[in-house]
Amino acid sequence: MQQLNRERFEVIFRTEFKALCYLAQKVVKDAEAAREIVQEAFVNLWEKRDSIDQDRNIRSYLATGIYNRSLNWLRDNRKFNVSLLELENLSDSSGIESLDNDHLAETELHELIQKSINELPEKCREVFVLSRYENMKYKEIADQLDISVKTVEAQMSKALQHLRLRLADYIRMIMLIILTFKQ
Amino acid sequence: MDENKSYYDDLLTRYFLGETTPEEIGSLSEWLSRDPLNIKLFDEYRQTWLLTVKDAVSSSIDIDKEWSVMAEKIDQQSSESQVTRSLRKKSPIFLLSTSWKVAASIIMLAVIAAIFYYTTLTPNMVEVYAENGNLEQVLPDGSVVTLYRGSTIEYPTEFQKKERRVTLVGEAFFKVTHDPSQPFLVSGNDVRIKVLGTSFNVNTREDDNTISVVLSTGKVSLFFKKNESEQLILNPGEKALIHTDKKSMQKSVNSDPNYNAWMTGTITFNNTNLKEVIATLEKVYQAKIMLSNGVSDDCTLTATFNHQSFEEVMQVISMTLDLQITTKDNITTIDGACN
Repeated sequence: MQQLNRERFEVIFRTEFKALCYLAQKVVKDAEAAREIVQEAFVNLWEKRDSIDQDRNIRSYLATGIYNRSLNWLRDNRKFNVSLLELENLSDSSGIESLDNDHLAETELHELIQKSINELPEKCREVFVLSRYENMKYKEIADQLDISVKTVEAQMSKALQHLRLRLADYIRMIMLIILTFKQ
Repeated sequence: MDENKSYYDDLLTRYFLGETTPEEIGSLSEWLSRDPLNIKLFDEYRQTWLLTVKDAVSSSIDIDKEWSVMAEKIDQQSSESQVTRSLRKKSPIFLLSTSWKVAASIIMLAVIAAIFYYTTLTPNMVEVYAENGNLEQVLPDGSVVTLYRGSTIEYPTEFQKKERRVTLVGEAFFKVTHDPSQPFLVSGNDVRIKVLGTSFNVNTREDDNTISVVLSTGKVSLFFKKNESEQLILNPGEKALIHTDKKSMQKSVNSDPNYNAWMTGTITFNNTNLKEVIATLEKVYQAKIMLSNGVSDDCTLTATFNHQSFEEVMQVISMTLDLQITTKDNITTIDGACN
């Protein structure tokens, strides 16, 4: 039984951290909370390193724990709604698979998204970047740019609308793939 | 119409960005249930949002920075545990050595480390209550429990002890992950249900003093608290009735194919008396059904329903048995001669 030592722990951390953040964020829809949840799960894994069975699939162990903690976070923050979660098909905690397979698609996607963002009017783009890449909340963005929260809301909606249209073909392709798998 | 559309576009955006209030989430859920086109829009927003998340996670997380934060946390813990370990090895003679102050500070550190460990070791308990309908919950070990509406389950955020313990009030269906090193234990009143890796239905509601357990797959052992030597073992297809007042248990072969239909959505009737059909349907659909006096006692039904709505099921029964079915004020009444 191989011990989970510091080196191996670091390798696991560096390999899995981003994908696990993606998984947590799918559930909690809050980038900071997701990051904290994943960090906590890793600390917990380290604390249990002597008692954990090395033959276990560490990745699915982490994913299950993180999925569970994410649901609890939703519950604690009164954002839990069964029917919406069902719609999002979040009962499948193996969502961790989805970041894995597309290293190629990632750069392509990244370029497409960057291009679409650059097409936005300036204020709109500013708001969008602060939200998605600086993980700021609506209120924080409003304070920073000295505009109202309502304006932030409107700009975000506009941005997502624009992205939705630009990514429509890409999305259709992804949904097709998902459907094929289900068959 | 246009104004409405823009309101929900905003709401959808807010939802995926985590800005919605609990009330808004409720109204969003209600809007979605009104029209499949709304769900389609929801899905498109969701896919768009997920792609931006993927991109943001890939590009804005600095893994080196995250690792250095993590490394600090774990190294802090490791050094504290090293202090506790080294203190144990020290002989009493050390206390007499020259640096009395050093000895005192090491002891202080060890005490603080002990407190730190003890406080982190007590698990936080989670309570889940299925308020509005059946509810599925994943437990820390990956086991899945489906709660029947109105039921409550309590469990720790981490299964740290030598057993995985959960407490149930009400009814639930369990799918337990296999782990012989850490048996799964369900407590309801004074009864314990110990499982290794299995799926089973527990009903603590039968009547005030009776608990029923029906086993689907695997193997379970049932016993009263502190009396594990007098256990009853259940095999798949078997049912146990536990009387908590008399502290007795009986085993029988399960004759009700619909014992967990409330969860699976599959209902089977094979020459089943209409009264029993109604009892099953009342449970599965959480509906109130009244049988008129005119309907014959010998009325039986043979049919299988798979994930069908209450209305569809009622329609089939009405046509098959030549009965009139009316619903008013949430009560469904069955009338007619029965064929």
